This record gives sequence, C-alpha cells and structure tokens, in this order.
Amino acid sequence: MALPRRGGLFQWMSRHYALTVFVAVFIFPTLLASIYFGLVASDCYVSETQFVVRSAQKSSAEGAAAYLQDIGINRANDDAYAVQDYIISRDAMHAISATIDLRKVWSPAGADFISRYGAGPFNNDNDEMLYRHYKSRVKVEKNLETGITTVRVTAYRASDAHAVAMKIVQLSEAKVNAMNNRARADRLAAARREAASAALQLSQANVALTRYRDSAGLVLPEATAEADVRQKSMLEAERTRIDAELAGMVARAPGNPAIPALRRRLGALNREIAAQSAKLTGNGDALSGKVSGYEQQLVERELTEKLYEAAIKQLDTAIDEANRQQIFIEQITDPNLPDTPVEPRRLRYMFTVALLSFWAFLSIYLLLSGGREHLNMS
Amino acid sequence: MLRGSPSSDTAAKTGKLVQVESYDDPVSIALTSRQKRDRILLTVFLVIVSVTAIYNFLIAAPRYASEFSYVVRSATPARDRFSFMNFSANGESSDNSQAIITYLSSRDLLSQINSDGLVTRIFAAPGVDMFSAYPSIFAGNGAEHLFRHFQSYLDAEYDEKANISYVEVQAFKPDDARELAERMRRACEDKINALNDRARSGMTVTAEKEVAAARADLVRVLVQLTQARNSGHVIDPKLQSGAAVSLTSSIAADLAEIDVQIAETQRSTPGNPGLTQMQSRRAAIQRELARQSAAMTGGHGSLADRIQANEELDVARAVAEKRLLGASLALANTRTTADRNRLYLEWISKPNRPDEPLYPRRGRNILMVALLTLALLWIFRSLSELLFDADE
Amino acid sequence: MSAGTTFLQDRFERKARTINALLIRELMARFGHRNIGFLWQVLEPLLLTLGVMISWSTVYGERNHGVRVIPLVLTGYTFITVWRHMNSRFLHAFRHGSGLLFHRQVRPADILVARGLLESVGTLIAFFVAYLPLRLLDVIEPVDDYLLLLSGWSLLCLFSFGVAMILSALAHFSDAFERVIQPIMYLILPLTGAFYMVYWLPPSARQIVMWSPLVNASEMFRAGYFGAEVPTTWNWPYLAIWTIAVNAVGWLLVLKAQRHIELE
Repeated sequence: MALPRRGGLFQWMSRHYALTVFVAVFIFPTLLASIYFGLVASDCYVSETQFVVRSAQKSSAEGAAAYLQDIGINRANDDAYAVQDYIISRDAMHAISATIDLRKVWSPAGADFISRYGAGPFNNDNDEMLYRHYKSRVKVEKNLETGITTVRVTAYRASDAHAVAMKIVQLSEAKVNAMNNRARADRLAAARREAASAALQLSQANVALTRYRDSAGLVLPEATAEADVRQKSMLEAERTRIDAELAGMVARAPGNPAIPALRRRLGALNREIAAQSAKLTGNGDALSGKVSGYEQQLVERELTEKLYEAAIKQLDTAIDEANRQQIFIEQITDPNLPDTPVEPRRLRYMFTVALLSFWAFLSIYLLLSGGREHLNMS
Repeated sequence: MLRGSPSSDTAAKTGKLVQVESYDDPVSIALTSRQKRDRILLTVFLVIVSVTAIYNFLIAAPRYASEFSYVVRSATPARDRFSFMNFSANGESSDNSQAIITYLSSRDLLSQINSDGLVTRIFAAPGVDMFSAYPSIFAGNGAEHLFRHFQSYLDAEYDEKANISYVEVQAFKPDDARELAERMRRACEDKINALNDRARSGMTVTAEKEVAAARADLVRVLVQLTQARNSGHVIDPKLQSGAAVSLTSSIAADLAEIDVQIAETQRSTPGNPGLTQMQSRRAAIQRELARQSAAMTGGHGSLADRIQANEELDVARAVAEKRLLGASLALANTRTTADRNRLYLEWISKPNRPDEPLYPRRGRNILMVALLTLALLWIFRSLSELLFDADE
Repeated sequence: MSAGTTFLQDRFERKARTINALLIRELMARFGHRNIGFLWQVLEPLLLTLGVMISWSTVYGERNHGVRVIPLVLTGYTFITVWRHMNSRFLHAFRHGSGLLFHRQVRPADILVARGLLESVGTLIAFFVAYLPLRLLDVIEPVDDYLLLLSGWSLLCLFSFGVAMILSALAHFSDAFERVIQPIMYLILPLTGAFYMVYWLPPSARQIVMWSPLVNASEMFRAGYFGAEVPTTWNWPYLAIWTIAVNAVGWLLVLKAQRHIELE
C-alpha cells in the first residue's frame, strides 16, 4: 500500500473505497434531500400567467427579409425579450416593492430556514440579496416556438403569489406603453420638427405679406386695381359719351353755346384719365409696381404653403407607420389564485438528487478505481 | 463506521459459511433456483396482465370522447414561403393557434367551463371508478388538483403542417362529453374575440389619442378665431376688405368727379362762387379718402393689421384641420389593418355526440402491458441468468 | 429459501467483483498504464468536443437559430460519442474478449456490461469535465433540470446498450452483417438528433424524426440542459418502451451467442 498508515478508519476507508464513496456520494446527499424535501421544506404556491407580445407590423426589414415579412399582427420577438428582461430586473423589483413588501412575502413566519429570504448566516438584508432571491422566485420563460411568455411567481401564501403576479402583469403593460411612447416620440420627432418649422415659415410669409400691404398702402391690390380700372373705364365711357354728344352737337348746331362747356369737360376728363392711367401703370408709385411686388409675396407664401403641406403629409405617413409599429400585450391567461401548494415538488426534487448523486457516485468510483489501478494501489 | 471492522469480519465469516453451504451442490441449487425463478416470473406476469384486464374490463368507467377541430384564420392569408428556412412561416396563424391551444389547457378555461360546476359534477358522479373520480385520494381535492386531473381527459393539439387544431375531451356520459366540448368551443370563440379586441385596441389606442388631440387643437384655434373676430370686428377679411376697397374706390371716383367739375368750372366761369363750395367739398372727400386708407392699412388698428391676426389664425386653423384629417385617416387606416387581421375560427368539425365509449382502449392497453411486462421480465430473467451462470 | 437467497447474494457479489475487475481491465487495456493512462478516457471525448466547439463557434457565431452553439455542440457530441462508442466497442467484444474467457468466472455478457458501464460513465465524466470549467468561466448557461438531463442520459445509455447488444450478437452470427454495419451506422447518423434541434425542422420532417427514439433521447437531454429557453419535443414513455424492447431482444440474442461461443 502506497499510502501512509493513518489510523484504522482511513485504512478501512481505503480498502472499502467503493462502499465509502457509495455512502458519501450517493446515500448521504439522497438522505439529506429526502429529509429536507420530505419533512422540512415549506409549501409554496405558484401563480402563473401567460401572454404574448405582439405588434401590428414587424419593424421594417430590407431585402429578402422584407419579402419574408408578413403584414399583419405578428409577435414582437425583440420586444418580448425586452419585457422578459424587464420583469427580471431590479427596476421591476423596486416597482413591485413600492406596493408589496417583498421581504415579508418571501420570509413569512413559519417558512423553512433554507428556502426563505434571508436564510443562512452570510445573508445580509439588502436590495442586492433581495434581487437574487427575487430571481429565484419569479421565473419568466419565453417559448421560441409559440412566442408565449410564461411568468411564474412562487410565494408562501397564495394571495401573495397572486398579488405579485398581478403586479407584474400591470408593470409589463406599463413598460410596453412606455416603450411605445418612447419609440413613437423618436419616430415622429423629425417629422414633427419639420412640420413645425414649415408652419413657422408659413406664418412668417403671412407676416411679410401684411407688412408689404401696410407699406404699399393696399389691402387687396387686385381689388384696388380692379376698382381703379373700373373707375378709369367709367371715365372713359363718360368721355366717349361726351365725345359723341360733342360730335353730334357740332354737326347739328355748331353755334350751340354748350359746346365749349362740353369741350372743357372733355379736356378735364382726358386729364383725369391720364392721371388714372399713370396711377395704374407707369413709373414710381404706380399700382402695377405694387401689384407685382404683392404677387411676388403671394408666390412666396404659396411656396411655403406647399412646403407646409408636404411636411404635413410626411408627418401623416410617419404617424401611420408609428401606429403600425405599436406593440401590445395579449394576455392569454390571467394570473391564477392558487389553492394548492405545488412547490416544492418534493418527489421530483428527491429523485433529482438521487439520480444526480448516483451518476456522481459512478463517475467518482470509476475515476478512483482508475487512479488506484494506475498507481498500483489495488 | 467506527465499528466497521468487526462487523465486516462477521460478514466475511457468514460469507464463508454461505460459501460452504452453497458449495454443497451449486448446480442443483442453481437448477432449483431457476425453476423457482421461472415460476415466480410467470406468476408475476399473469398477475399483472390479469389485474390490467380486470381494471380495463370491470372497473374502469367507459369514457366517451367528443372532439372538434378548427383553423385559426385571418382575412389576410398567411403566406407559406420558404417554410424550410423560416421556422415561423405562416407564423401569425401558427402563433394564434398556439395561443388558443395554450388557453385550452389553462386554468382560465377550466374555471370558465366549470362556472356552474359541470366538470366537478362529471367527475363526482356515481359510477365513476376510483382512479377517474375527483375528488378522491388519487386525484386530490382542490382547484389545482382538479385542473391537473382534468388535463388527462383533455387533448388539444395543433398540427402545424395542416394548420388545424384538434381538441378532444372525454367524459363518462355522451351528453357530458358533448356539453364539455361545446363549452370549450364557445370559450375558444370568446378567447379569439378577446384577442381580436385586444389587438384592435392595442393598435388603435394611440391613433385615437392622436385624433382626440388634433380635435382639441382645432377647437382651440376656432375659439381663438372667434375671439379675434369679436375683438377685431372682422368676420370675413376678404369680404370686408373688398367692401373697404370698393368704398375707397367709390370715394376716389367721387374725388375724380369733383376734380372734373372743378376743372370744368374753372375754365368756363373762373369767378363762379360755387367754386369755393366745390373746393371745400373736394377737401372733405380727400380727407375721407385719407381716413379710409388709414383705416385699411395704417399700422396698428387698421384693417390690414386686424386681417393679419385673422389670417394667422386662419393658417393655424388650416394646420389644425390638416392634422385632424391626417389623424383621422391614420385611425381609419389602422382600423382597416386591424379588421383585415381580425382572426376567426373556421370550424372544420363541431363537437359531436359520441355514441360509443372510445376509452379505455381495452385490447390495446392489455396488449401493451402484456408485451412490456414480458420484455421487462425477460430482461430480469437474462440478468439473473448471468448470476446463475457465474461459475458452473 | 434461505439457501437460495444466500446463494444469490454470493453470486451477486462475485459477479460484481468480476465486472469491476473487467471494468478496470478495460480501462487499462485501452489506455495503458503509462502517462496519464485512464485519463484519456475522459480527455478523448473532451478534446473532440472542444475542437468541434471552436470550429463551430467560428463558423456559426455565438448563436445558431437562437440556441447557443457551445452547449449545443457539447450536448450533441456527448450524445453521439456514447452512441457510437458503445456500438463500435461492442461489435468485436466477443472476438477481442475471447482471451478473457479462459477465466471461468468471465462470461461474454460480462464484458459487454463492463464496456457499457465504462462508456456511459466515462462519457458523462467527459461532459462534466468540459461543462464545469466553461460554466465557471460563465461561457455557458447552467444545466436547467438535472432530472431531465440525467433521465435522458440514462435512457440513452440503456437504449444504446440494448442496440449494441443486438449488433454484437448479430455480428457474431453473421460476418456479412459485420461488414455492412459500419456504413449503416453512418447512414442513420441524421436520425440521432445530435446535430440539430427538432424545432429547426419543418413540421413535416419533425413528425418523421420524432419516430426515432434517439431523437427523443437527445431532445430530452437538451431539454434538461436548456430548459424552457429552447423549444423541445420528446415523449419519454415512447423512448422507455423502445429501451425495454431493444434490451429484451438484446439479451435474448446475447445469451444465445454466449451459448454458441461456449459450445465452440
């Protein structure tokens, strides 16, 4: 024997190493597990809820992916992962803690000393420890194939499990809404900015127009021009009438005393018409110049109006797109209020420990036998 | 452990004793043991098979199965492209089918169909054998146990290839089976409608908010516009400025007329006393014209000034109108999308009233148990053969 | 009765000693006393697993269809190793082990049992030898459910043992069978399920591969490893029935072959 003698027990263990390993690796853990799960472990209730995170449309993809993309209501995989991650986060835990005292939920009086929160001599009571415990009590599973997310909450009292599960459902809804608002704001921000600046330009163009009117002394240049033209044509009609009357009078009675008066009136009319013409067209302060300036302003305003319309259209498209990309939670089953404790699954856990320790025994036995043979110990 | 050595010594002694005993006649012991073993194995086999037969033929309550099948469809057909590559091809329909299947085997569904205690009555009815009854020592007592117990009488499956879901539910009376299936069918309908409503509201909730906001915006602008009209005494800028312009131009015409008259009078009778009167009349008209154009365009308080406020609000109204229009269109669009994607269950077969108990499958059960027992006993026999053969 | 039970107890102890001795002899015969010796039993599959892991990881990146590649390869190759080794080692067990048959306690079936044990335990050790450091380095996720993992593993080992017994007996009776068995083993490799997850396949192919008990076992093994994170389908009663069936047939044939050898 290569090993030094160190008392009878060691020698006995070395000789009967198979039995020793069998007892230490298989019997002992299995017995402990049986005692714990059979006698000590406290009953726990599990509240379960299932939901799917959906979106109206998958986020836009390119190339072949776009071809594969189905229009319609689809599961939103990334968002479902985001929700899953959120549920198992410190944020969510703190949010639940705001209304439910999680420490009390997981360490009520009568809970066994191994599974409850804060068990063991090295466990300080702080948020990090609570978070670790939280992760072991709140399980989120997302099925890749069906897209269904299952949340299971374990607690020592049925009502607690139910309350926490309800709270988690609420928080997930709120989270999804927040994600929607955020994404929507992001998506619409640019379009909204564009529309706002176009509206500003439009109102500036309007101000410019008014200023021009003020400075030119015109409200409606077309109307003014029309009135002026009408007046001029009225004068011209008058002149034509007087012209004809004068011509007739000269032909019929050249010595009529009214003729000079008519002539004078004609002269005055001619001057007036010339003045009116100068006011309408011509250089300097003529209406034609003002109208062309006004029309320039009008064109400017029309341009800004077109720009504004385009921006609004873009905004509408963006809103439409954003509406489609809305995500939402579809609840398949609501959290149940359990009436039977299903955790711990005593037999199952006992059997797990037994199977694990049996294979461990076989492995260690093989390694030991191989080692001993290698060292020529047997 | 400490007293291990002496006890192992005793074991060794007894072992030797045993060896002395067994070396008496190992072959004959092996032979008799074999005969004994085969007799025991045969007995075990017969007992197991007959117990199975007794249970299946005498004890087990016959179970009737009612089944229905459906397809989850939406108005837009699911596309089945690249089904090999894309494992969620026809994903949407598959997802919804899976959701319904999940719902079918949920506590929610059980409490829905058991709202008047039908399920509890079925399992507590007299004549139901002790393994199938609830509550019982095997099935337990409590909603959770009922849920678990019920799961073994319910088979909901989704065939992805054909996109059809099959549901089968068992009960101990034909009418009960049918009633259960019928209730489950209705529950499925309700669920799919609830999913639809959820999807629709999930999609339209923001669009609706948008419409409400746009409407509020428009109302605000309209109120401002009214206020501006009241305070600025402007109702229709166009009409009013048109009136102002025509007033001005008629005054200007009057002025021109009086100018003509003055010029004419001056020529004909320069000393006419009416001329002074005409001059003062002209001045009055001139003043009136100046006053009118000041009212139109003369800075603060003028028509142009008031029109500007008005026009700005007009622009704002146009903006708000466009926004409302856009939001309403978007809402309508979203609603259309939601409606296009509205899911419905297309029934392939509705719950039937079974007229013959399908379960338990007696022959199959007994055959399976017999074969398995035979195989297990054979393995056991072979292993023991190894022991008996150890050295001969 | 008392004589019978003590007789059985004695026989059982002697059988256990024989198989234990054969186990250690197999270990030594295969890897020798030199160098690290029997550790090769552990390192051999580990090296293979590591090599494939590295190459697959570089080819496919970290994820393949949403499943982490390293655990996938680790489970897949552990799985395939026990299946292939068990079958190939058993094939010539009767011929190679014939030297041992001069010991009167040693029967051909004992050699099979010893080899089966060695393969099952050795490969599982290899799995954990690869698993533990990777787990400690946080490269891979922890095993989700040991009960499923080890039940799947136990059923796989028993199933492989049954099939290997059938093959070894058939190979003993027919040389032609011995020739064709290797190509057949390669042909049915896709039916082992070691290289893919069932949910990757289209629905129609799923139904076909789910008939294979090996696919059921590999899905179960992986379900134990991954948990609900990865969709898996398996039917353990189906697998158990197969296991019982092949073992029953296997023992029938092996005992027949054993008598045949002893008559020679």
